[in-house]
Amino acid sequence: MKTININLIGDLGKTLKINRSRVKKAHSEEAKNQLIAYVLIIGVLMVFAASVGGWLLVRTMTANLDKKLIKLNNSLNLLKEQETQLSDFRQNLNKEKVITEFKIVVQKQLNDSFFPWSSVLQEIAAKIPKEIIVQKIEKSKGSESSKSKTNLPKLKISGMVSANKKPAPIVAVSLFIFNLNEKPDSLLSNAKITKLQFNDKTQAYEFEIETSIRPLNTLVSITPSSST
Amino acid sequence: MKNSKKSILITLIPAVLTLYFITQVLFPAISNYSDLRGKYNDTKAEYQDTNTKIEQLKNNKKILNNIDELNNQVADFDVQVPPDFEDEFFLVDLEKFSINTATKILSLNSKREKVFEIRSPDSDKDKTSKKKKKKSKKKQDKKTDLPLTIYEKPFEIKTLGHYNQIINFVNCLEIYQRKFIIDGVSAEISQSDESNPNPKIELTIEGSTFKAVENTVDSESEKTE
Repeated sequence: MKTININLIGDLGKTLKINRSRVKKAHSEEAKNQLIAYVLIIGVLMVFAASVGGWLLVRTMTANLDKKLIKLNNSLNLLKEQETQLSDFRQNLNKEKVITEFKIVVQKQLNDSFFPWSSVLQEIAAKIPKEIIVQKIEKSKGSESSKSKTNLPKLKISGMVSANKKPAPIVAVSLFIFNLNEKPDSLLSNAKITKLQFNDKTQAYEFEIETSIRPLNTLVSITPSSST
Repeated sequence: MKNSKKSILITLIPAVLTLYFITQVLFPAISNYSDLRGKYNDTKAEYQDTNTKIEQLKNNKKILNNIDELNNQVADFDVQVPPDFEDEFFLVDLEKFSINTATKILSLNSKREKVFEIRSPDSDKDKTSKKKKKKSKKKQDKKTDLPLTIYEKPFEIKTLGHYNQIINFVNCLEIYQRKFIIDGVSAEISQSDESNPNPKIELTIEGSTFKAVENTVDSESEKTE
């Protein structure tokens, strides 16, 4: 008979030792994992709390800024209305200024075209011999000289003198010219005969005299008054 | 082991939720805030610009003073050159002149009104160069942009009276409050008075009255456009 040595207790003891170590290892791993899990959870919760807090902060800041923006937009709209009103007013002012400046130009041009006809007629009446009949007095354009900038106005006097009158008709015309040129400070000056023609039908000499008109700014007493 | 893995897996759920919250809620909120901040800054800058423009536009005193000075120079322009010819008033005034000067108005003829050309004070004479011709063309184009158009209406007035009386009548026309520019006169002895040693003279006066019409065509055409 063979004897079988069954050392169950030893084996059991060995296995128990092995299992205990394995359990110990397992326990330690579980603890590690649990620790990791706890750390993760706490970290995640902290991050979540921080993000929620940040989101709330951003939300309040956004709301405040939105209110400010609405107020600013309202003020800006009011300012823009004011700007359009003021720019319209400025445009109207500029337009009025342009119109007024143009009126000044027009008034100056009209005043420059003024011709003292009453004074001319008075002077002619004072200087014309009795034998001469003045038929027409008209203004003609003066000559433009390159040296002088002013356009010297000239007057054309057309008339007739009967051939039967005494003194001689041509003498009467020359006397008229002499009278016009007599005084250097008179309105009419530098008179010249431009035409002298005998008309068979009327038996009279028809003549044309051209004379210069002294500029108005040199004649203080002749300019008309502004009385109505 | 399984329990630890389970716990780790379970912790991933809040992590994912947190990540989702950050990406879908927090980051959009931050970008929204930054956009709003940008808009606020732009609006603020626009507000300041508009404010400075308004301050500049409010400074109208200089222009107003300038306009007042200019208006003083043309205080009676609207009387001298009214917006309409108003022939009825002109006839009444001519009648007054003839009564005051003891003359008689024989006839009054008017011609068709025409545009009175205004010479710009800046235009120079005797320019023949090509560049200057181009400039003159530009000036002609600019004439259509004038604020007023001046119209001239020629008249021919025949009056009868003694020489000194018709001189007074001409003087009345010269000092008339309405602008009447006399272009020429012609005189002849009245046929009915030829034998008289002091005959009456028929004086024909050629002159023009003026009116100023404001040009509003440009503004109306801009409105229609």
